[in-house]
Amino acid sequence: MYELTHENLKMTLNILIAEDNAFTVSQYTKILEKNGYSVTVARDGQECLEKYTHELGKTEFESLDKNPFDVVLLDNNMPKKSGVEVAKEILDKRPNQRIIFASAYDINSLLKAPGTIPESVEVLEKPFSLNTMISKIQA
Amino acid sequence: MFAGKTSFKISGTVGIIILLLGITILFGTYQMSKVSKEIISISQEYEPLQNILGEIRYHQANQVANFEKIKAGQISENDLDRAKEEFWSSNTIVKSSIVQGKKLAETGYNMAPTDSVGSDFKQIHKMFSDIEQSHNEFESMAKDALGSTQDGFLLKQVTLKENQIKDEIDSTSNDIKKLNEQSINAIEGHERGWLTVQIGIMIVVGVIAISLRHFIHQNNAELKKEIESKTLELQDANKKLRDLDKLKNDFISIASHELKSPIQPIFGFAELAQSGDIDQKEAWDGVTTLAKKLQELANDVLDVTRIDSNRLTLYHEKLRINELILDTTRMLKTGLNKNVKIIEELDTDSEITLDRARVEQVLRNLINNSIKFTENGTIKIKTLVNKKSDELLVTVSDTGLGIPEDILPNIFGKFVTKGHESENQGGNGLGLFLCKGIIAAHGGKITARNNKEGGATFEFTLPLSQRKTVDSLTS
Repeated sequence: MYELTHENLKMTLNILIAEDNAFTVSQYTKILEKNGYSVTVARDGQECLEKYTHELGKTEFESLDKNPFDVVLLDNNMPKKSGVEVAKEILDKRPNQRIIFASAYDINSLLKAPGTIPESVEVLEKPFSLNTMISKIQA
Repeated sequence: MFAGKTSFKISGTVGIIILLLGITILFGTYQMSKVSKEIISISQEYEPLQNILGEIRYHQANQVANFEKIKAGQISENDLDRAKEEFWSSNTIVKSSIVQGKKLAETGYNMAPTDSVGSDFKQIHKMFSDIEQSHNEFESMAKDALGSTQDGFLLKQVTLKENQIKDEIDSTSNDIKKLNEQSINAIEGHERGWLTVQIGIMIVVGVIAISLRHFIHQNNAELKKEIESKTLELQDANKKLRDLDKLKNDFISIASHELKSPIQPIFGFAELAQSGDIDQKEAWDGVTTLAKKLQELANDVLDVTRIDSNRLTLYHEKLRINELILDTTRMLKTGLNKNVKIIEELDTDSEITLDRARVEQVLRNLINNSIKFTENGTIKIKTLVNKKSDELLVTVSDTGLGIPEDILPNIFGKFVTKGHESENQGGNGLGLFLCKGIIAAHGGKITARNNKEGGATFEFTLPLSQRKTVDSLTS
């Protein structure tokens, strides 16, 4: 029992997912929750930013170093705000926030174009195995 | 073509002007030289006559002087002989001079360029003949006088004759002078006439040159205008091409994204089913749904290219429109999982020639759109037979969110997605573009508007009797 609790405490990471495809969202949630993560879902770029800011407001006074989410998983092509825009705005608020880009969009051209996604952003190119995603998050 | 014609006209006119100027100048030069030549030749012909008259005058005077010397007497024998000798030699010279003058007048008559000049010479000839006659009379009188002793009467006669000859010579000289001037005047007058003609030609050439300048100027202005309008047209065409290119690029990038996006969840379903995290049925259902979506997208993209290239083929059949509508709504009602009512308000049924599958596609698209944007409410499908315009009007209206104002003008464009917050079943943005294409191919029209009391209304028409359609025109 103690072991399990300890494990849970250690491993429970907060993840914010921004993805507009309903099937993909449910699959992410399923595999992430199975691996013991706490998942927050946003269905578009705007909602993602709102949820991030909301969480930031709650945790701001706890510690300056602590980010509201351990990982933000972003799709690029979403209604209202693209993943690139969301990433920029998040990094404006928390420059050391870990962001993983998961998109079928031509990521290479997106990365090559200067001034688009910051270098610190990690990339997962769709389609990818859900286990690959878990390994990437745990890395 | 236009420019070529103009330059041809201009060069032709310039050529004609240069030719005319050249002819005028050549003609002028020729006339000038001809006139001066004529003046010179006339003067050359009259001058010897004057010289001869001078000779006659001189020798006649000499003869008279010698005659008087002889008659006066009181001179030595030697001097008398010499005077007699001089008298007779002068007499001979006068005679020969007169003959010479007559000959010259004859030559002048023969060579006269005009009749009036000829008659002038004839007159001169007559004057010389008169002088000759008078001189012959003088000669015989003088001879008689010399032969006899002092005869007062005869001497008087001789003196009279002598004066007569003098007068005749003077009048002849004067007449020749006058005739010379007259013919020079005549030539000059003639030349003045030609000068007028030359001036006339020059004025004509000048007028042509001025009108040519005006013509060229006008032509230039027209060309400039034409170039400007052509440039504008080109700019316009260029912009259209660029717009089309951008549209094509957008189409490719969105289509490829739409094609890619179902792939990730298909892999996900397979992975989760394998690991047993979801049951097989859920996975198969999900994969089937995604495959259907891909199929729809592929069909839509194909239809879009058909409409774009005017190759949409319609399979016409005669059928009752109310039946078709009710079939479609029945199918949609069964799949409905929302608190939305679908109500039909249909006019009298009529038989219309149309492509069943395509018209059903339009109805499905419109009603599905309404369902998508209506959480609670009603969707009304109305028909209205308009005998006057020979059209059937089909209206699909809902009580949903309505169309955002910024999207409304382009609602029937490609890849126009509605951007509503509640949108969770993302369409591919091709549905309304296809509706428009299909209705247009049937010879109808489709419009969209927002209702005052909320919700959106889509309206399309179908011709009641078959007309020439886009399809039958192109295929």
